[in-house]
Amino acid sequence: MTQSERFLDVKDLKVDYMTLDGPFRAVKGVDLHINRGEVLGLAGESGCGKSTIAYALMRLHRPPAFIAGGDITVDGEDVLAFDEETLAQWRWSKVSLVFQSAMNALNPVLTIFEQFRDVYHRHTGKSTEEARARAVELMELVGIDPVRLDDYPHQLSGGMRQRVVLANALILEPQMIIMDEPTTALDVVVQREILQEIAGLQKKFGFSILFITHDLALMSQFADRIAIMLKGEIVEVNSAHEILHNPQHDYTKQLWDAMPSFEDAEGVA
Amino acid sequence: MTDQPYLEVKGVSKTYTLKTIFSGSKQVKALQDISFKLGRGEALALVGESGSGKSTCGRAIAGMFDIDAGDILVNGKSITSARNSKEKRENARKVQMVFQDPFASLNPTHTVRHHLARPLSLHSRVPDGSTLEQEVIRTLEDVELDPSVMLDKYPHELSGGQRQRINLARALAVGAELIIADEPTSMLDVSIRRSILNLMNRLKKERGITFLYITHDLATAHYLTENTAVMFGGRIVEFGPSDLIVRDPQHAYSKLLLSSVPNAHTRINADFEHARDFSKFADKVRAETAASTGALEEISTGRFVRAA
Repeated sequence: MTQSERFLDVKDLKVDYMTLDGPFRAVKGVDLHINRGEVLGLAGESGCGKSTIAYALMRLHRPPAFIAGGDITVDGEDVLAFDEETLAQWRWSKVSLVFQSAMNALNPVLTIFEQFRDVYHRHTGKSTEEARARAVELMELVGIDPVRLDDYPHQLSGGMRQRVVLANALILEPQMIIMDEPTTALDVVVQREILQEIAGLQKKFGFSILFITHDLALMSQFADRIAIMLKGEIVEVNSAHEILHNPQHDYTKQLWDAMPSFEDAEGVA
Repeated sequence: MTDQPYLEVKGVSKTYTLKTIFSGSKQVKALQDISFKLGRGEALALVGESGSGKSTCGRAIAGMFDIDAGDILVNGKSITSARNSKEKRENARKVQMVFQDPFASLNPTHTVRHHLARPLSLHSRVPDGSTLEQEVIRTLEDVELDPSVMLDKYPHELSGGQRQRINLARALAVGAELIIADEPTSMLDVSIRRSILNLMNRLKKERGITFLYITHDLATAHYLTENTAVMFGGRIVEFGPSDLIVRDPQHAYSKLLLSSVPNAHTRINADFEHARDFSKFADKVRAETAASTGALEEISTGRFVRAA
C-alpha cells in the first residue's frame, strides 16, 4: 500500500478535555488511515472517543477540548497546520460531516433551499440561481421531489431530513464524508433505506467514508474495514469480513455477544 | 378460572384531534380496534415503526389517558371501573411503566433512596417487621445493584444501564404485576442492552411478572417474548408466537420489518441505479398496508394475520 493511496492518515492522535481535575485524555494516541474510495467503520460504545475523533479530523473542537498531539494528513495536506481561513474553505469542500440527528443538523427557521444556499454561496460565491440549480440536482440525487426545497425541516419526515443532510454533505463534491451515527435515530426500515442510499451514492461518486456507529451488524453490511475503539484507543482493525468471522480482541467478541440476534434461542420461554 | 388472561385488550380505539394554528383540525387514528390477550407471567412484544401506535397502546393500558372505545381488563377487571381513589391507586400499582429515556425518567434532584422509598411508602408496601430502609435495599438487590454504593447517589452519577435498573426497581417496589417497558434498551449502549434484557427475562421467569415490551427491534422482541404483535398505522397487522413471526412472517409489512433488521452476514447492494429499489418497495408496502381494509384472520392456532 503506497502512501498516495491513503486519503486520510492519522498518526498518534491525542485529544484532551480540560476538566477541573486536570486534562482528561479522550483519544489516547490513535493511528488510522482511510484509502481513497474506502469505507472505514469505527465502532465502540458511547464515551469511547469515536465522535471526538470525527470532530478532531475536521478540527471542530472548541475549548475545553483540544488536540494535544499527533498528525492528521488529508490528501497530502497537514490539517493541523491550516490557518482559520484555509480551514474554513477546506471544510465541507474536501471533507464533510453528517451528524446523528438530522433535526439538530438543520436550522429549523430556514427552508431546505436556504440551508443549501448558505453553504454553496459561502464556498463558491455563486448566485442564488446557480445554488437553486445545484439544490434541485442534489434533491433528485437523494430521491426527494425538489418542490420540497421550500419546506421547513419540521415538514419533512425523519428519513427525508436525513436524506437532505446527506445531500447537503455532497453539495461541494467532497472526497470524504464523516458520518457520525447517521441512522441511529431512525426506524429499522428507514435506517435500511438511508444505508442503501449512502451505499449507492458512495458507489456513484467514489468518496471515502468514515462511518461511526455502535451497531456492528449494520457496519459489517457496508464497511470495507472496521476499527473497534475502547476507552480512547483502537483495539482492533481489520477487514469487515475478519471482524465478523474472526474477531481477535475480547472487546470485539463482547460487542458481538451484546446484541441478541435471531439465532439466539435461550431467552425464549 | 385458570385460563383467564392477565391482560385483555378488547377493541380499543383512540383518535387524537390535532389542532394546528395554520390549518384546520386533523384526526389521527392512533389506535384502531386493538384486541389481544396476555397471560400471567408471559411477555408480549408490540413491534412497529414510530407512529404505529405501539407506545399509545402501552400508555392506554397504563391508564394514562381515556380510550374512545373498547375495554382494557387487568386480571379480569376493567381498568375504567375503578370508582374511588383507593381502587385507582391499586390499578396503578399493578401496572407500571418503564420509559425509553432513563435520563428523563428520574428526578435529578433526588437520590436513589428517595426514588425507591417514595413509591414504597405511597403504596404502603412496607410489611410488618420490616423497615422502609430494608425494603429499599431489598428492591435494589432485586435489580442486581449494590445498595451500599447506590443508595445515596443522584441520577447523574449513574450510567444509563444503572438508571434503567432503578426504573425497573421502582416498578418492582410497588409490587407491579404487569410492567410496560417502552423501548427500555434503545437509548442504552449496545454492550449493556443484553444485561437489561436478561434482567427483565429473570424477573419474568422468577417473579412471574408479565411484560408488555414495546420496541422496533425484532431481535430483542424474539429474545424476550412468547408472542409478538406487529403494528402499523394504529392497527395490529400480525399477531403470533415470536419465533414463528421471526422465522416465517406472513404479512407484507412484517416481512419488510424483518428484512430491514441489520444482518451482519449480508452485504447491502451498493449499486447506485438500484439503491432506491428497497425504498420504493418499502413505500409500496406501507401504502398498501395503510389502505388495506381486511380483517385480522386466524390462520393457525394463536396466529393472526390481517388480510390484504
